[in-house]
Amino acid sequence: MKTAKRALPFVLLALGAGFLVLGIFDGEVAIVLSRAANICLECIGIG
Amino acid sequence: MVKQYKRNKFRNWFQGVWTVVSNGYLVGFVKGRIWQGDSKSVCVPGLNCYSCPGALGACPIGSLQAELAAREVKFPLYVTGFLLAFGALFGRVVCGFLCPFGWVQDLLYKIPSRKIGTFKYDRLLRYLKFVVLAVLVVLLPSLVKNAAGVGTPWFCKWFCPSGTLFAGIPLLLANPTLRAVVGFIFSWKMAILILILGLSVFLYRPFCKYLCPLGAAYSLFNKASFYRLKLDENACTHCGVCKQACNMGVDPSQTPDDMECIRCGDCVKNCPTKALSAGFFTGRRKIQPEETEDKIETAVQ
Repeated sequence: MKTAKRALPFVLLALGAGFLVLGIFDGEVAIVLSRAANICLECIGIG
Repeated sequence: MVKQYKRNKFRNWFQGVWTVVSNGYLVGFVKGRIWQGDSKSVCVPGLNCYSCPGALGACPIGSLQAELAAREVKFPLYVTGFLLAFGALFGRVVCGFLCPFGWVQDLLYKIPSRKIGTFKYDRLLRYLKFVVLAVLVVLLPSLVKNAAGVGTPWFCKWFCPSGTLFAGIPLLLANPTLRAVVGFIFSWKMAILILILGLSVFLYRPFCKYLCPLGAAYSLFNKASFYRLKLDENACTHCGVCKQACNMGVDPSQTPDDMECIRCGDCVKNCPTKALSAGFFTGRRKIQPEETEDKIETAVQ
């Protein structure tokens, strides 16, 4: 039980890194960039 | 007379420096435009609107909605990856140290006034932020889509006070074209912002406690992140000082990994026996009895 608790942050970090890499290969970076690099009218209360 | 507790001044400075550094495109504030470089594809840990004129990175909550609202994404792997990594490393340290809107609320709470501690439905209302996360950030953007199959970032559009403060106001001030098309939604969001900022003078971090979807997400990691609070049970006298010093209403002597703890470190600073410590723990090292004795000796002196 204690070992599992100790391992959890490492597992979550590895999972996060894995998701990140998969997301990059899936082309999701472009979606985030296109949204973030243009003024988001919804965010500023216009859209 | 209300007892004054020691506060972590380093944290306030760190929050300020982080806000300036992560929103360092100062030209944007003058010219009413935003930074468009590649760094915008990388999520910052805190709630920092990517339409803030100075923002150099992307807001994880805005990006998550963008991915969920996009037609071509089945599961938002990229942003979930960032959230998992930040959560595993820091937990809610992000709220305490790396969130510009958290910093603004901290500053407002410093204004001398009568403060509201806890109240009847305080703990119950804290679950509201999970509803905001589930409904406004995840469900509505992924389920409600237009004819082209594209959704709307509901949280950003109808709610986010950080976006209004750091993006809406500066962009409208500096950009007459945007100012000309402002309407009901902006007035609605301004009302939310004013309400939250006004409340922040009397109540510690109302947005973080009750409404922030990012805080909700990171709170799930507080029990499993590398950065933790550690309690030396042998040194703790259960005097209650840590609980009284905590503005988030946490009792670190009972639950050092409480989901509401933003790791501000005020409990560590005020603990008379130094039973509490904060830092990156891998959980391998146990506190040795002689260390406890040293702490107690120091406290007695």
